[in-house]
Amino acid sequence: MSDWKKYVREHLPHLAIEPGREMEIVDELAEHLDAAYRDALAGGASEQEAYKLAAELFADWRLMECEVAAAEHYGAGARLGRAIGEWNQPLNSQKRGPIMESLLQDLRYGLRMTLKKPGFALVAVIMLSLGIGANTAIFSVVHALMLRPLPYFEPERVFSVCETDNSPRSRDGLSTLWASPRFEMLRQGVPTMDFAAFNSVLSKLTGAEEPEQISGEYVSPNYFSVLGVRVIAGRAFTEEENQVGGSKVVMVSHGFWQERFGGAPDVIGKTIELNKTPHTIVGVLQPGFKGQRGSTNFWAPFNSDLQPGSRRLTDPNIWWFEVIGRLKSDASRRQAEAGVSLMTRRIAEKYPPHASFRDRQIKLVPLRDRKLNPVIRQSFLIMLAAVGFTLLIACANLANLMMTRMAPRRREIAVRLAVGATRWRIVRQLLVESIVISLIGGMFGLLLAFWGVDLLNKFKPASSGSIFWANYANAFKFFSIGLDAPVTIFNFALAVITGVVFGLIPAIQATRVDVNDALKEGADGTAGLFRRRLNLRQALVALEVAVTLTLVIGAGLMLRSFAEMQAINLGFDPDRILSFYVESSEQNTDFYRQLRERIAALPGVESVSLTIVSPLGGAYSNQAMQVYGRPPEPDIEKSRVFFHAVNHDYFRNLRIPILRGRSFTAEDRAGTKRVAILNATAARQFFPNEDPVGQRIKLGFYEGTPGEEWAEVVGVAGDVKYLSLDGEVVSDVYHPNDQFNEAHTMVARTSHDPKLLIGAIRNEVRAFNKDAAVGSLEMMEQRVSNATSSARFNTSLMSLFALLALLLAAIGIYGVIAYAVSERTREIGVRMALGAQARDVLKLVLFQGMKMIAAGLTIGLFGAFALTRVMKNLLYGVSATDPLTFAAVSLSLAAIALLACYVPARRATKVDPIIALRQE
Amino acid sequence: MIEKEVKRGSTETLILALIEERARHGYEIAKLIEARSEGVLQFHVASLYPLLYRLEKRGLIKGRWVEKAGERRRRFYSLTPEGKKALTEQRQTWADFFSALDRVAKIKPA
Repeated sequence: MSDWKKYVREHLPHLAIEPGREMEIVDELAEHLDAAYRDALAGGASEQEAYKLAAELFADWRLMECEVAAAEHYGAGARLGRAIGEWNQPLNSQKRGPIMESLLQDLRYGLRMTLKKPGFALVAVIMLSLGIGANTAIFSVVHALMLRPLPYFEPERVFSVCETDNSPRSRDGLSTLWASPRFEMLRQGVPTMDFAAFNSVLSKLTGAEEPEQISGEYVSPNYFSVLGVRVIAGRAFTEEENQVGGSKVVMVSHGFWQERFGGAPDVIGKTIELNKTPHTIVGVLQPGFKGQRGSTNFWAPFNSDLQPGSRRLTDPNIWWFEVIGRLKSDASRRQAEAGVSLMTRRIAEKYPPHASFRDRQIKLVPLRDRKLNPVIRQSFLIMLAAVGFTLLIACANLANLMMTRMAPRRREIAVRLAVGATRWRIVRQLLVESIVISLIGGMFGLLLAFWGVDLLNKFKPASSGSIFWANYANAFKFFSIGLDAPVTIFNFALAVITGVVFGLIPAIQATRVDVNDALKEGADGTAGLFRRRLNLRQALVALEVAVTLTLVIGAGLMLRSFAEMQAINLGFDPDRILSFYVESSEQNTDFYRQLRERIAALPGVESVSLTIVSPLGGAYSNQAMQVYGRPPEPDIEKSRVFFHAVNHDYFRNLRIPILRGRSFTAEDRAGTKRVAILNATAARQFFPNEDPVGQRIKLGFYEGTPGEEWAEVVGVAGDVKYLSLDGEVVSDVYHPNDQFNEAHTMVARTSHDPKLLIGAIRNEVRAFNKDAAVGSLEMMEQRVSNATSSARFNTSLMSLFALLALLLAAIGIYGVIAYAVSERTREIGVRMALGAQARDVLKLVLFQGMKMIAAGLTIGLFGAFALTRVMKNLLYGVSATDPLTFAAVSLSLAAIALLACYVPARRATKVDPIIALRQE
Repeated sequence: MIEKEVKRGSTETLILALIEERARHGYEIAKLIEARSEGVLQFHVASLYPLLYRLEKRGLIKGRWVEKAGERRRRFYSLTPEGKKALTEQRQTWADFFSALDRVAKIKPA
């Protein structure tokens, strides 16, 4: 007599159903076997034969288990039931389309499985929303800057017409300004293009209580058709309106119309007051069009601002406006370029350029390239790569988590495979699960991105002269950054792709089961495949470490570069300095001297100096310098110096050291001997082996300009950063302003917070002369900070992503080691039972972790070496392969990774051999 | 493939028909199918029990444990009213099916 119940229990795997029901089934099957066995005995078989006969009835336990499980489980049961039921109702169920139906089924199942393990789902959604949100935010910038077509008709046919400029003043190698007679030749000489001129201005919107500065453009009447923007109300300018001193008419931006007139339809014919002159509104432009600066509110006819007889129209050397051109419909860019290049020569023949302009070529620059500097483009592509990497790390982590989660589900998968599901069907099912999670992450990601874009817009770098001569602020304005439809689509497409990326490997892994093995093992048994999977997990973590290392090295380089920038010696002390210029029609020599004295007398002002340009103020005039007793230098670039006119206490006020000789004094004024002070760079450049003090020099742009006197060098001052923070210091020559009277900029050092004096200074200037206007009123410290704001922006973003990556990678390492330890508990128990010490166990586990970390670090070092090169242009004072950064980051990452291993490794040493061995 | 489905579809009808007379247990059903079809429809126990469970889930049959003196506890299955209805329908479907087969291919039901 055999115990058939025990027999069934031994052969039928757990069904994962309600235990009472399972016992009933076991009883019933055992009863069947027992009946068959007795029948066989009764039929004359021996006990052995009867046993064999009965056992053969149930030979296929796998099939039995699957079918019973299928019958008992709703999902799979329904499938099978339908297959059978189809004979009764052969046609009806096909109506909805089998693929849609099963996808919906997958979706429902996916949602159910997700909700079943809310912990996993929560972790996954957090990681994914961070990753996807960051990607979407950065992509919104990349999309606006590089992908979204400009809001013009056929924007690819519109070009900015510039000249190449290789002088150090030009940061992008282009000069955009034109002079009227030259432009006239160009306009008539290139039949393949239509050209339009525009001049950006800031005007005062008066008439309301508080005058306000708004930005405008004086444009040729064809400007709008050349750009290809629509007039949505009213009309564009006529040729008559474009006469010198012509009628005062304006067109306004859609935004201005909405904001100031509430979008009122009767805006045409109304007037606005610009600089106290009423202007009639004749048209409104299409939404989103904000001119070439990205902030234009009004447009006026090009010539209407000029006075009759203005030299601007006739002087070929007054460069004052910009030009855009559109290819005519039948012309190609190549034809237009040929025409433009021909005109370069013709114009040069008619109006011979300055010696230093001789190499200039007229160039067609696509509008986008003109607005989007390569450095900005590059920095955002790097950011996009960085967030992409971060998401990749999150994916690797989730893939690992998914694999852990798959282990207990292998039986479910095996059953489904056994019941006849194809592998693809199950992979699809699992993918739907990961995509469901990923889409939820995408939804939250979109919210985060919304917020992120807001932050990006808020904390965009200020415009300034800095290593990122690229003007982020202007680019952000011109290409309005925001979450639009394509970016939202990107967000969700990325979510789906992410779901596939982190779901595919676990899905393929999970379905690569030998059904027999899987069903034979215990319910949570994974021993057979443990080794292979762990290798895969380790490979994933190694990948994470590699990617993280690359990212963190990138961030490290930027941090070092940023630190280098912070340590730049400005050459002056920006503490509590206010800088501003005063514009006045007053040509009286005493005007600025008197104004300076009045401002110096304000309470809280320590001292005020006059200069042409204050430090970090950007471009200023440059001239060729000649040294007395030497022949004129034929190469203008070698004799180029930058010209300053300062009053005598300028050096003391800004705390610029005088290295040799003396500073200016009150005695250095008009009528006395001309004197000059060189900066250290000029002293080195022109007098490498002589004492510059006592030498005589002469400035003058044109060779042999008459009337310039020789000036004696009386001192050498320290180098000051005038053009930009990170650029090379150029040769500067200072003259006493009393001998030139060209300085309209004031620098005031205050005794306390300079912000408090801004109002007082404005009032004082207005009280002194009501026509005088204060411009560019800035705190010097703010200007210094702006100069590094692009670097700060990039460094912060990069560091943020690197930190995120680091955190994710640490979690990943911890997860895998913890999993490995839990899987090896028994093995560790055996080892400890056989006498292994805690130290040995620690070594065992750490070694396992170190293998993958070392592999990751090695790959990461190569990756970083290859990838950080693209950052070269974003770095200051540090090489893209800076060994110190590479070494420091690798070591820190290794330390963090080891720590992440150490925590679970410690736990492994606490394994109690007795409990571990009892586990099975 | 079709053979398998026919077999499955028909087995369901067979089981319903067998327990229409009286409640029977699994072993008896298996034996009866084998005996009455003279071995042609001998099918695997691995399919029988799942089919019974499925029919029970669908509410067509009802299983009940019965313990008789001197015998082991056995689970007897009987037809529910829904089962009866389903059986009538299925008989009709099969009849239609066979008459269709007959009209087309000259296959007469036994």
